[in-house]
This record gives sequence, structure tokens and C-alpha cells, in this order.
Amino acid sequence: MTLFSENFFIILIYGSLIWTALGALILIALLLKDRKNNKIW
Amino acid sequence: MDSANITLNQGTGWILLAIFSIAWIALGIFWGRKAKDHEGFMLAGRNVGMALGAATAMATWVTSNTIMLAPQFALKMGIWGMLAYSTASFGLFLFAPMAFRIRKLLPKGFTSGDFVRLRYGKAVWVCFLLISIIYSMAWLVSMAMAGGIVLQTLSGIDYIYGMSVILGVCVLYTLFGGLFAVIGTDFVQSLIILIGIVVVGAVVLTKVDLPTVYNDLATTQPALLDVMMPVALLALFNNMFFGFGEVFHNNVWWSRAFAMRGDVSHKAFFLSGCLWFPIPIAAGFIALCAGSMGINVTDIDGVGPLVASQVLGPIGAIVVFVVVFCSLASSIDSLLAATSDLIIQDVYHKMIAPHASDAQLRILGSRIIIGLGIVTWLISLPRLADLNMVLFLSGPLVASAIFPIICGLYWKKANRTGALIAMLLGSAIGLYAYFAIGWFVASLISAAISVLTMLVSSLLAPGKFDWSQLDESKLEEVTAEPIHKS
Repeated sequence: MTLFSENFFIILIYGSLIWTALGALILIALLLKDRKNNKIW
Repeated sequence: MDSANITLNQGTGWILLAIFSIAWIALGIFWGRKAKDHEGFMLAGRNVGMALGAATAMATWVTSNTIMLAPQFALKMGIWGMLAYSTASFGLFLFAPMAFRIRKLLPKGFTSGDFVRLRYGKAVWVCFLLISIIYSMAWLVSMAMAGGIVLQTLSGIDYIYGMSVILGVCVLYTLFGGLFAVIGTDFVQSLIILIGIVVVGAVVLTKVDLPTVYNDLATTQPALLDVMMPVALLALFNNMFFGFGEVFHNNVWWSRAFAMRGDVSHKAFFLSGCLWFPIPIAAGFIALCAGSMGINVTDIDGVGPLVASQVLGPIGAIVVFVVVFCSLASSIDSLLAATSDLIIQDVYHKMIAPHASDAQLRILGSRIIIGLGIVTWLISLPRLADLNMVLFLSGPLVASAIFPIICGLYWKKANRTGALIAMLLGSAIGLYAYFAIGWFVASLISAAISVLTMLVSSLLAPGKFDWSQLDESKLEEVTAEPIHKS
């Protein structure tokens, strides 16, 4: 049986958490940009 | 339910439930004031920007099932299980160019049913509506059930009370605000979901050592780390096709494509896919840590919230409670709005009362939202056996609609007979596979049968569709012009 490596396992989990956090920041930044351009709705 | 697993007392659970219920209803009323007519209620003025567009697509696709099932997938199928769940985001990626084309071909469209009716005619339209409404109900029921289950797991609130409150709150604010309320609250909910998942994951990582978790799994359950796990690989493709089928056919996504500004719809859907992709991994990995932390998992349905609440105590339980409440609300409201649109616009307005006034449609829309809520509540009352079953039973139905939709949007030769047979045959054989083989191949087989049927039929008897027929506003202008006889 070939297993995923330990490094892959760790990078996958840390990567997913960082990526998710970045997602929240991107949404906030986009909202501010839309608000500045009066394009929210 | 093992009472030792409950870390939030019922009183706190009820307080949280009350706070968020009041908040969503108040926001729903606030944003709902923008809806001046039926079209505004249905499509939020067709001018939704990038931030709200991406957030609403992402939040709607992060269902309570994501929070509940991703840890289950991790526990049953390990790394591939989490990756398999993440492939559901591919539906959002691929819908991005479709959203652009939908806005171009149907600038005044209302629902996915409009497209199927104009593209393929009445028989395919009726079949499509049946599939879409059955799936939407299955999705609604699975989420209402998940809401009841997670509230019970986290706070001991009785399943029936928790399920009823969550459903009732979503019905109320969707009723007051239509798509304005849905999209506005989705933005707030998406931020809470993303931040909550990161907080829970980060705190779990402070409690466990990932190399230790890896070594424990490699020793006790190496199959969860196996590079070649056949069932998980099948689940990956099955989930991907399920995601395609769900996103491509469901009016939840089409109504957003119609609601967003034409220049942002494709970008917003692509971004929502990017935001969604890591979530099943970030929310699911905590189940893999259960063994290393000595947590005994007795109820697999609630493994994610159970691990989080065991590791983080009452604060963790509160965070999970709020995240699940937001993910439930962001999906239930969208489904209520989009499914009621489908019933009003396609069933009532197009089939029964073509001359109904704007006010009549608005009133009926409210009644249908209430009716959908009641039907969902009644079906959810007896807690069904397994969340997977409720969700994946409808998988082959929606998978059969993937290729009729894609071919219909891009291929002039796609014909209506092929589309009808593809949906019927794909659904029937997919359902047979579900029971004869397993859930993990049902959508895959349904999609395969559907694409073969669509291709063979359309190549044998190619159609010659005129794309301009999809723009009903132009058709109405033409029929409204006076006829001059020469």
C-alpha cells in the first residue's frame, strides 16, 4: 500500500486553512472596492 | 445521543438561536425594502456586484452538509474523501463561463426553466422541472435534518425544535426580503463561515501534532492515507459530477447569474469556486484527528461538530454552532427563493396564468415560500437514517441534466428528443445503480448514460437551433408590433 507522504498531509491541511482565511480577506476587500465605486447592488 | 458529548448547555443554545434568528430576520427586512416589484423580489434588481455575487455563490454551496459530511468523508475515506468533497467546487468553476453565456443569450431570463422551455420545448421542460423540484426538496430536507442533528449534538436542543426554528427563520426572512435579503445575508454568513472554519481548524492544530496524527493513522488506519483507494477515487468523480449536475441545472445558480451584473457574473462564479475549494479539507481534517485525541466517535453524522466541541470546549461549540447555523441559513434561504421562483414563473405564470399581474405573482411567491417551508418541515419530522442517503439519492437525477444543459447552451445540433431521453434514461439507470451498486457510482453512471444518449441522438438527427429564440424580450417585441399586410 502506497501512502500519501507526511509532508503532503501537513501541507494540505495548513494550505487549506490559509486559503480559507485569504478567502475572507478577499471578500472584505471586494466589498470595500464595490462600495467605493458604488457598485454593491 | 451520549450526553457526555454535549458541551453547550441548552440555555446557551437557545440564546444563540434567538440572537441569530432576530439578526437574520432584521437584515432580511432591511434589505428587502429594496424589492419594489416582483422582478426585484426574484432577482434583486439584476445589478448585484462582485463582492456580494461571489459571496452568495460560495455561501450557498457551503451547506450544512459541507460542515457535517466533509468530516464524515474524511473519517470514512481519509485524504481522498476530503479531496473528493472539494471537487464539488468544480461545478462553480465551470458554471463561470456558462453564467456569461446565460446572461448573453437570455438577458431578460428569470429561471433555468425558462432556458429549458425555450431551448427544448414542453416535454423536456416538464421533466426538467420535476427533477429540479425533487432535488431542491431533497436538498432542503437534508439541510433541515442536519440543522436539527447538529443543534442536538452541540447543545442538546431537541431535534424537532432545532430543525423547526432554523427552517422557520429562513422562511421568514426570505419571505420579507426575497433575493435582496438572501444575497445580503449570504455575504455576512459567508464571512462568519470562513472565519469560523479557520478559527476551529487553527485551535485544533494547537491541540494536536500533525506528524503524530499522520503516524497514528498510518499505524491504525493506513487505508485513510492510501494513494489508491478505489472507493474514494470513485467518490471523487461521483461528487464532481454531482456538483456539475447540481450547479448546472439548479435555479439557485441560474437566478444568481440573472441577478448579477453582466460584466461580473462569470468572475464572481469563478472566485466563488476558488473560495469554496479548500473548505471541505479545512472543515474535514479535524475528524482525522479524533483518534489521536482519544475521542470516541459514536455518531458518525455529527463527527465534525463533536470533535470541535470536545477539543475547544464551550467556545468551540459556540463557534461550530454559529458556523453551521450560517451555512444552513445561507443555503435554505437560497433554495426557498429559487425553488419558489421556479414554481411561480414556470409552473404558475407560464402554464396556468400567463396574464397574472405583478402583484398577484408577488403574493403567490410569498405563499409558495411558506408552503415549501411547511412541506420540508413535515418530511424532516421523522429523522431519516443517513444524511448521505438523502443527498445522494437525488444525485443521479441531477447528473442526468448536465449534458442536456451544456449541449443546449453551446451546441445548435442538440435536439429535444435526445435531451428528453438523456434525462429519463440517465435518471432511471443512475437510480438503479444507486441501489444495485452504491451511491458512489450513481451520478457517474447517470451522467455517462445521459451524455451518450445526447450525443447519439443529436448526431443522428441534428437540430438547427436559432439562439435568438432564447431572448424572450425580443420575441415579445416582435409579437407586439402591428402586422402590416402588403
